[in-house]
Amino acid sequence: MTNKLMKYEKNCTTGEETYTEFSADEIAEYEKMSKEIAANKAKADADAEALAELKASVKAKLIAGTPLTAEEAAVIVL
Amino acid sequence: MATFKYIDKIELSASTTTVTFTSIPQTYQHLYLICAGRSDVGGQGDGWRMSINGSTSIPNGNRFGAYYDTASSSLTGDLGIHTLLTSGNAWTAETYGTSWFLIPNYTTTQTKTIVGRTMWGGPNPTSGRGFLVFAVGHQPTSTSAITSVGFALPDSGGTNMMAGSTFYLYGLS
Repeated sequence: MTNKLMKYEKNCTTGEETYTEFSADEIAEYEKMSKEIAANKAKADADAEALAELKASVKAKLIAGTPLTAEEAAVIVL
Repeated sequence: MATFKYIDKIELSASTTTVTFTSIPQTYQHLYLICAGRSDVGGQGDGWRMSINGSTSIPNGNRFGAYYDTASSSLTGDLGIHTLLTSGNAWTAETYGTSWFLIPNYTTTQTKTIVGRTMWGGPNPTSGRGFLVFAVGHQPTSTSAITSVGFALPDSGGTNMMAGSTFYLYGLS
């Protein structure tokens, strides 16, 4: 971890501002959540890419007059 | 007579991974939060989770939104996890993503649905055209009265909210 992880809090009742480093537990939780976020993003990117490929296949088949698969048909049924 | 009252402001003088208003007075009916944020991500922008009472937990379906991208003239549904968008380093310095959120009936112990609008800093700096604007809804998992609101866990590669980012909290009653 090259960047120091900091947290900033403003107490709306007292006006006190605190700017503190993450604790070891908070760093561990942050890193765990960051990995989950990265995994979710990778899955979302892969899903989007697969959908784009499916749409391209549908378009090509429609132009060529080739029958669609059920999965491909589902892409264009509203 | 209805009132719209300033509660507090945060203006970051240094970068931080989380930013939070705590000990929010329980004397208003609704809260209104205005943000202008910039992240240290190298790309166009970042998305942040809203943190309610210290929790960033967002079950599937509890965070939803849609965006209209004028670059492609398309409206797209979105089930992402971020609620706040901020600009990134691909944008001109001092450019901030702007957002607002209404947090209704925040002192109750009923389910609360937060609604808002968030966007990156302006026309897409990579394509040179179009805005990316999200309408967002967020339903906290807990029904407890809301005493703290903030943002955490950037999900697009950044780590910190940058100095100069500002957050204003208002109370409506």
